[in-house]
Amino acid sequence: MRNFPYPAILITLVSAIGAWSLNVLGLFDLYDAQVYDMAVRYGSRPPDTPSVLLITANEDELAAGDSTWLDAIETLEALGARQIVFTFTPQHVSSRFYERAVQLGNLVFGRFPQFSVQSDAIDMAPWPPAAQGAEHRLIFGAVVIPPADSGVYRRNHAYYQLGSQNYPILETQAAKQMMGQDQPFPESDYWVDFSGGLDYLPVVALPRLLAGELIPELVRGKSVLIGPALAAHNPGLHTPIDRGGNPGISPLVFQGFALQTLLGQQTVHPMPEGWQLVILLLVSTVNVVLYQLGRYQFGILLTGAAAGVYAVSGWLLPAWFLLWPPVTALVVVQIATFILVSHYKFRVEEATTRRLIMELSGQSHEKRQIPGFYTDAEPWAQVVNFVKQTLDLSWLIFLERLPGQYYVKEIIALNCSLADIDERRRDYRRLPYSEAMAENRLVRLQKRLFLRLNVDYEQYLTPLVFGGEVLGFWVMGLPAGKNTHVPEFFSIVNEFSVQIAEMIYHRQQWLQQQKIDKIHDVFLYLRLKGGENFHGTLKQNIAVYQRRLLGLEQIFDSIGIAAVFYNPFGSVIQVNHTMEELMKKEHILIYQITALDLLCLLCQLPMADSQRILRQVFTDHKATTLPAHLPDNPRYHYLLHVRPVVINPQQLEAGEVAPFQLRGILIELVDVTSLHDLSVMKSGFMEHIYFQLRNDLQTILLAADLLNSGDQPASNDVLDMLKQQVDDAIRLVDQAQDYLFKDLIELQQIEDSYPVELLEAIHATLDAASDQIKERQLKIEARLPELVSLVLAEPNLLRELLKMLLTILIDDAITGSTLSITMIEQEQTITCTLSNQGFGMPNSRFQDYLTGSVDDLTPAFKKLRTGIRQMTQWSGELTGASTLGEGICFELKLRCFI
Amino acid sequence: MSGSGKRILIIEDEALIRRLISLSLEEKYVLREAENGQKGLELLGSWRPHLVILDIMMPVMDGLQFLSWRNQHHPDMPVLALTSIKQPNRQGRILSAGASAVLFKPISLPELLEQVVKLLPG
Repeated sequence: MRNFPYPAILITLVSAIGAWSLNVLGLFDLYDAQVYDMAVRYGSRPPDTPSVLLITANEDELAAGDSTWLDAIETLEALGARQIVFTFTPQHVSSRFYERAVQLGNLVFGRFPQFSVQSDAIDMAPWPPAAQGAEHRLIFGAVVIPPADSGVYRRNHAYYQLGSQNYPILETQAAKQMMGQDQPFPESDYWVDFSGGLDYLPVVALPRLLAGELIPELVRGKSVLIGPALAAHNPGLHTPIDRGGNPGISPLVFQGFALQTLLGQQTVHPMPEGWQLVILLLVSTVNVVLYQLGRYQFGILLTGAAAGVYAVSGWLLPAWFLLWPPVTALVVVQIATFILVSHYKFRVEEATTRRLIMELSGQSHEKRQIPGFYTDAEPWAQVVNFVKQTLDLSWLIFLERLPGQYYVKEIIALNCSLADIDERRRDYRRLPYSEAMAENRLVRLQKRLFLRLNVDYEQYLTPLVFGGEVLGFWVMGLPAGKNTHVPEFFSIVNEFSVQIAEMIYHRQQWLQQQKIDKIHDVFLYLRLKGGENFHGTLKQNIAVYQRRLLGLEQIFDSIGIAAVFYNPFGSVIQVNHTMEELMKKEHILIYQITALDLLCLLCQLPMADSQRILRQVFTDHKATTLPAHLPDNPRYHYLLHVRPVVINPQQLEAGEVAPFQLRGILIELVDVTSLHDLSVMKSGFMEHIYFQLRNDLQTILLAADLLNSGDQPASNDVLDMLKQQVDDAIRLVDQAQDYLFKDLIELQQIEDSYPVELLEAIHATLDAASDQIKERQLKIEARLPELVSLVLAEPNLLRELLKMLLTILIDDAITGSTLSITMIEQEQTITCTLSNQGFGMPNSRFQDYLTGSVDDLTPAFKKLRTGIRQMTQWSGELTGASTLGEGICFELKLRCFI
Repeated sequence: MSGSGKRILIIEDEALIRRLISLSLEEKYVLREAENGQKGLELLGSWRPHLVILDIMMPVMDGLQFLSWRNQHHPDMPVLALTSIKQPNRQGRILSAGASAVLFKPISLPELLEQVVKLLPG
């Protein structure tokens, strides 16, 4: 079945044909019979009015003559009986009786097959002598009770084969005589309808008939069956309508039910075998599909429900449609299909799980982290390495304190081992461990613990405490005095010891759990979890991959660059935290736009250009970098990298399709605002240099032209001017080159002054504060020249100062008032005045805030105070004044560069 | 004493340039000098030049601010603007501000004299 492409067909055929074959072979007859008995016993259809009346006669009456039997038939005829059926042939009557029988024409006699001495074979019992001459005109039927089915009489013969003769059974003959030969009657054995119950057919004793006690209504139109009553010693025939403990019915009653079945046309036929096979195939086909839809529990429910349906069909079909379905075969098909489908699914799932585990184990090159971490030396080696480098240690050892033991045990060591510690000094109850535990901190050992370390080294010991419990110790050695080279040596050791103690705790927990698990291994078998545990292994491998995926997601989230990963079709797969926050601020629905939309939005590109760029990414696998801006924040400058993430074809699963061989597209938004600002700063500086040089060249050119014109009186002056100008120009170039040759990256770290554009800094600060200004409804009155000289300042500090000045002025300002900014360049100094219309404060207090020793300051004033001190390095000066009820005014003076 | 009697006001913050321009023009014209736009305005209160040679980039009051004042009070007074910033639309901007002509530094003496002759009335 494993390699067969359509196992469903196989399952359908196997279950249906198998069940059908067993049914045809009769293996299910017993069970079907039991279901039939239940159906008959609790019949679903009310029986019709019986057409048969039973007359019982005892042995003496059976042997009676004309006086009894002639009388009986005359009485019955007078009462209107439609037919009189004898289940025997009266032996002691006269020929008048049989002549009368012929006359009446509606009498039927029963003859038994018996062994004939004459023919030396089984033959019908001969007619009695009284019937000689009339036997060919007498109607008879064979009296043969069919064998029981497992002790229960359910069926009757229709005909009895004797030699070459096929005799109709008495009941068949009687029914034909009564209803006519045209009616359809069963040609083979048929199921007797017992659904009326034990009391269904009226039974009357012969004496009552002869005494005239029967009313015409009881007899009129019926077929009267006369036969022997059940003898006292006779257990009778057991039928489906047996009541527990009661004897069976007499053959007469059985024959009565059989006759009634024929007269009422209530013969139940079993489903033809051909149709049985078709039904079973249909059932199996439907169930093969249904069982695949759900899990095991669904299958069980379906099987139970189907069995119920089949049982109900066995109850209803015979009563209403005279059809007996192969109930047991149907149930067997149902169960067989369930078992086969479930088994197949289980095998497939198990095979898939095995393969998956093998693949995962093969792909994962590292051991499972959780157990490996605590037992492998490598992770501890990494910890030791890290600690050693951070603290610049020479020797170190981590010791573990095990419960129930007094001697410490080595976890890992560097440049030493446990052997370096004297055995007598490994007992943690004694010094120096007891001292360290008592003080619960790092202690410097006065007595050497490491025997090999000489006196030039200092030794330290700290307990490793977790949850209030000392789990171990950390001993370390370093050259004398070296601990001062590492700032905050003691606090770092303390922090590390907390982390290492926790690691030891988890390690001990894990080791303990391992021991418990080993003991419980035996009980695993009792819990049916013994042996190979694929699901446990699979679960652990999946947990490793989940952890790794989570870790990668966290890394992706934590990188400072805003990034978004798209699938090859341009839809979002992953957005990192930085990008998410940035897009949220800009009100851009990053999860709902495609890569193309993002390109158009951030790079302000036409759709056609964006499409071209993405096309290049898809087809040429070409990475692209574009300038980008945020729509609501043009002040910030970004570079947008668009990179294809290409798939290695060997990584593709069989049948997996990867368009353009791309895993996806990674878009990164790199904030280059600071670099841009620095570049602008340099450009601005260059512009000023250029401006000044042009002026200087102007002087030189004019001087040269004047000299050329030959104006002697002026020539000396002009030469002097020329020399002075050349000197000025050289000085300018010398001053400028140091700043110009600084690398932009180096400039980011700059803490010294640099020639900066004050105007640009003021504009940038105003932009940054635009929200606050708008909120307070302040008007800005800025009287700023178009161009001023560069000033020497530390760029970041200058911006920070301006920001603080503006913050203070805005906070103090009256809503709806005006903020004024003016700038004047005079005598190599630029003076920038910022003032507001606000509440102000007493000037003395204001001066205390600015330059005094008052500590209770707002953060803005604190930064301002620091800035005032720092700006003196670039000959800058900040002063301010405040008037209560009027506002605050700041004056910022900065030295011009050129 | 100048030959033509025409008066020229030189407004330029760079002292050497101012001096050199004066040296080149003093034989023919009557000259006054100012080191910024504000000082230039003060001079104009008592002395009316036929031409102003005006540097644009100056402290206190730059050339554009001076032109703005001149447009209001002396719109007919020719102004020769000198500028060191050679940007694509710079000339247009200065001309729009009211300058009669714009020269980009460094300018040669002949160039300067040519423009002066062109702009002086008569």
